[in-house]
Amino acid sequence: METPSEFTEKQPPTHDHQPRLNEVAQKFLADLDEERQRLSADFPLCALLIDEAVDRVYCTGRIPGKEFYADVYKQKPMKITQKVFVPVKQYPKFNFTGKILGPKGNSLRRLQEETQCKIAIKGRSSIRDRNKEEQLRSTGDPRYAHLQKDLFLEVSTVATPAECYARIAYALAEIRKYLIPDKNDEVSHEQLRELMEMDPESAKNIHGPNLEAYRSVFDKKFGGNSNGAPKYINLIKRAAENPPEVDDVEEVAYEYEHRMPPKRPPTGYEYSKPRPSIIPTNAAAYKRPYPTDMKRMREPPIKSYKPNPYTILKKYK
Amino acid sequence: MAENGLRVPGSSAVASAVASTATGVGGGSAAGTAGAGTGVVPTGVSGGTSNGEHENEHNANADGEKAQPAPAVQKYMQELMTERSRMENHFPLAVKLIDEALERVQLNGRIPTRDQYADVYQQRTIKLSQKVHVPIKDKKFNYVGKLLGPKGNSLRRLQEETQCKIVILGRFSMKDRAREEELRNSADAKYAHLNLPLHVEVSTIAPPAEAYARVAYALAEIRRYLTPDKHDDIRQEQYRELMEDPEAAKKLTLRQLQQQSNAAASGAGGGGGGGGGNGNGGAAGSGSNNGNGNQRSGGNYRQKFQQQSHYRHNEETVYFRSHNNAYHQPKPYVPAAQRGNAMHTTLPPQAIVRASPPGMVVSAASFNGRNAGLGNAGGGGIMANSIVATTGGGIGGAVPPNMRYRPAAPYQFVKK
Repeated sequence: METPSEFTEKQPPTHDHQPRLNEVAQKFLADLDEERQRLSADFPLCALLIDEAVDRVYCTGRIPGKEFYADVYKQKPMKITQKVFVPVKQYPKFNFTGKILGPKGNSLRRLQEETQCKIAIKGRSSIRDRNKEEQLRSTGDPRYAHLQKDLFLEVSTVATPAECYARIAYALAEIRKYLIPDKNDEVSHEQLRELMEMDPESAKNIHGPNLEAYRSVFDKKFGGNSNGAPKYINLIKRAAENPPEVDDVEEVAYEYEHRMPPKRPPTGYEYSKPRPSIIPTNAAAYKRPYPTDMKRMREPPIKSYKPNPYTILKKYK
Repeated sequence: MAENGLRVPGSSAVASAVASTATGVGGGSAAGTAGAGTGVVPTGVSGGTSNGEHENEHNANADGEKAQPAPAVQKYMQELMTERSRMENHFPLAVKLIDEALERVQLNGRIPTRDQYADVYQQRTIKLSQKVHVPIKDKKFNYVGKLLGPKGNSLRRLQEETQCKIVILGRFSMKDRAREEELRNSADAKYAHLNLPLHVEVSTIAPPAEAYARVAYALAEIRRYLTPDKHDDIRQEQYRELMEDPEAAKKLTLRQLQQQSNAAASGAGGGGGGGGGNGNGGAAGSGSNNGNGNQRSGGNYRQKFQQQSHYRHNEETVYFRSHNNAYHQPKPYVPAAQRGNAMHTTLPPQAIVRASPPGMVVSAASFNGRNAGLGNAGGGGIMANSIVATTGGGIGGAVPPNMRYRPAAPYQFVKK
């Protein structure tokens, strides 16, 4: 698997992604090669067809012709390979490979695990080391013939027919997000955040406009005095040094003044309450002699007359 | 080269429209072909209706194929044919590759080199096609009929549901075997698929992800139609749909009768046997239902009968108990000592008999009957009655006859 990326370390390319060719396939390739050599320049379409056949064999590892039929009833597993066009010509300066791979190839690996498909980056500039890529291209090895073409993705999977097509559908839907040539989209932000978690030093070394958004507010370099203290701290100190005592005194005085008034009204209220209570008592005392006079004309008035004066006197005393 | 027609990608509806238009115009070859197809009598195990529909389907496709492909594709095909003709026998693989390329061009209508890449970024549409192998090891099962359904409705509905074009191609895909053989022998390119084994081609045109999703759904659905089972849900639905049409029902009935007669004559015939089995199963089912109904009604009748018998039993029980009560009353009244005295005297029985002759007669007769039924001694009974009369006196003697007479009537009534 090629791992070219600006964010990842250089790794030697491995050949595990190449499918194993059985004897029949090898013989088929040998025969094709022989015919290709024996063909003259008068058959251009045949040459093209043979080249395409060779590419297909190397991609799928099977002889073309038997892969057309899907055995749906027996649920026989099949392999489907779909090449995805990458808009390199339209956006030549964008690093599609880096965005697709992510930091240390994690994005691509996660995408492959999620979609259960094998996704390979092939074509020109798919290898990090340009010199090595040039060497491989010049060797003329059929397995590296894809380096002659433009950059493209190869999505392949092995499964039962319906499952196979469903996986490819999901993979193609997910891949579209990584083919948008934009450095400020959601995918790029996630990859950058992941990179900062993995290796903060390398993240700091990257000088990009997006990094300003992630700079810490408490960084010493960010807006501060010559002493190195943040502006906010200075403001706090200034406020604390000059008028603190006066402010406190004023507040205390204000509170003291505010607490005095509410105490007086209840006192006045308490003082005024007993006054109306005395008046009804006097009224009651004044009213009593009249029934006493009326009772004198009867036989029992004598008994009722005596306690009344005592009652009045006691109250007054 | 221009004569080679290609199948233009489009929906079956459009193809049907083209077919109907061609038929309306009255083209000689098209009309002749359609006439021949409809006129041929159905033969073999497969059902005529379904094969007829398939015939129409194929004719529609053939009419659709008459459209000419793009000039670039024509040029490409011409060049391939030229190179193939100029090539010698020393390049077998190249010839094979050219044939495959020609086949692919005919199927897709595009040059194969250009449609290898899917443009995901720009969401450009791609033509995606997949061939599905039909397992025909079980040669007695009618896969084509099951896929098409009555009048091709199942296939049409499947195409509408999955938004894919589904075509049945290959050997045994036509109703008329003779015509199929004739077309296979002809070197016509559009009938080259008849040389291949029976297969279903699923194709669709859509953006890459959408196209793959559609084909996945179509493949999942087609698997259900490739199961060689005549009694699964799909087949039952098709049968029910077929029976809704009275004309189709008549034809089916006639065909089943014919198949049964053929089976009886030849003693073989899978399809006919299957159809007959279905009919017999239905009849058996209805019979069993009738039997169940009979059993249920029988059960109800028995229940009612049991209830009636129970009622009668209750009546007997009530009467029997009342009888026991009446009978037990006199015994406690007669102590042993008095019984001894009464046995030694002869006057009391005579007095009783004289005092109430009719009561005595009636009571004696009924009492004897009761005692006999209960298994008691007749003599004991008579003595008990006489003792009671003696203790009661004259007035007492008058009362016993009434008591004895009253319970007698119900007893006789019960006997009746």
